[in-house]
Amino acid sequence: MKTILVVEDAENLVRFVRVNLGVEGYTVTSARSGREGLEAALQTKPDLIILDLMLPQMGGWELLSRVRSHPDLYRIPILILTATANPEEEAHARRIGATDYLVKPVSASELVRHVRRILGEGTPPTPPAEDKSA
Amino acid sequence: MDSRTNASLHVENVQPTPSTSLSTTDLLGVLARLRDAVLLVARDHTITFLNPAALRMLSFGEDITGRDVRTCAVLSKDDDIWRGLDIVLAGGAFPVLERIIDGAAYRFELTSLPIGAMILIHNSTREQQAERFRNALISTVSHELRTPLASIKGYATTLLRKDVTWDAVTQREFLEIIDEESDRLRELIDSLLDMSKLESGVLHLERVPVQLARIAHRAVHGLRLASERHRVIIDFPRDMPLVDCDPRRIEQVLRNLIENAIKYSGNGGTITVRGQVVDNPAVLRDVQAAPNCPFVMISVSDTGPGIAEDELDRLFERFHRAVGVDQHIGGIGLGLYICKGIVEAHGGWIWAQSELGKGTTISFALPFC
Repeated sequence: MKTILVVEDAENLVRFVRVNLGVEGYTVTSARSGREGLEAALQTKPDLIILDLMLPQMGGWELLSRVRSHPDLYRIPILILTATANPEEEAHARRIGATDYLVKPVSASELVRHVRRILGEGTPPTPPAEDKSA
Repeated sequence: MDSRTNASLHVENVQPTPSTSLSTTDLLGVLARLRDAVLLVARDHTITFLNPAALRMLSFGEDITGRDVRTCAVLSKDDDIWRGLDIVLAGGAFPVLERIIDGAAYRFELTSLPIGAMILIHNSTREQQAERFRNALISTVSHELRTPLASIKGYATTLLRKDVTWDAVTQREFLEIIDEESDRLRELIDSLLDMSKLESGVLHLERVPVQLARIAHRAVHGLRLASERHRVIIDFPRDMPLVDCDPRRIEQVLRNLIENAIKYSGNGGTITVRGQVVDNPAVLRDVQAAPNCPFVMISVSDTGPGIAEDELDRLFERFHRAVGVDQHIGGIGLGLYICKGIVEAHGGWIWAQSELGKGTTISFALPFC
């Protein structure tokens, strides 16, 4: 079972990511600040980090560079999920190691599609609904 | 708008006609009053005229009429201006140039004239600052609007997923989040509209005699951010006079101050909303611009961590968010700015006092003279 760490300070958005990726079979953990995010990443070594850029106590930019320069973490793909819709920032984020960049708002299916693509899982055949209930 | 074209049109139109009675002295008077620098250069590069603004900007007050324009360092050091000048002296056109000189922004317009060339220099620092502010505003606003929108879109599409069936309780929870975030979005939009009204001076007040204690109770009951960890005390004297004000706007101020007090004292505590009549304005010597008449003073105090001295002055600035405040404390940084605008529109004033580790008090006063 693959694990995903969501680093996001808006509680409602953490839950949005958690429920939608949870029903897909991922284990989702969360951190509310950049600092907590780095600690959690070191502890759990997730398969993917979903990262907001504007975070308290160490912003997303710093976390992104720290993960990319850490010998134990640098391979972890990072999906940026941000409210900053600025092409220059997106280019910069990709340059310093973001795997993918999504601008809020995103739909549930968009989120799932991007996560699946990053984790190399494509879109699976639709499973029976009873396996997917909350 | 092509300002270069306008400038040349303007100059070409200043042809004395039989019906005008403007003398050369009149025209020179007009040029002397211009804030923009105007410099005329003959085909042999001699400066034939410069107005007082040009004297200030280009030659430190020294009259350089009759000299070669190349002696003017500001112009001759800049290759583009220099090239442009030669082009317009030969009858051509040259685009407007933007330059930063000693931290100020300038626009150089070079125009070809029958008598040579005109260089018009406009200090565009203010326009550029306004432009920067507009860009920052758009980026802040779009970021802030996207955050609640992300939840609305996120939960709506979560509910719409065809491959998942959510139970009734979960469905309701998601709908409640959508509802709550829509309120947040509406508040942001209201704040932006209020800001715009304040800045264009069209905030309309409907003043009526008001019992402020009632407004304070209404503000507390209408709190969106109800908190079980905080105790709110409302303390108004019984003989508080009626005050002429817009009850809806003053309630908005109070609600904002109380919500701030709750937000910024996250661990709970007591919030006191106190009203008092101050007959002698001298009691508030610290407050600048206190009017020389009696007033009512309303304070909202919390027992939170307090605000550092150097932050206090900036609290009422637009888009200011206190340093060290966690982003999860929602807000665009307009609340206190709007409160200040509303209070000042009433002829009152607002200020903050704080002690680190003890709490913060924001007070506002409304004169009733």
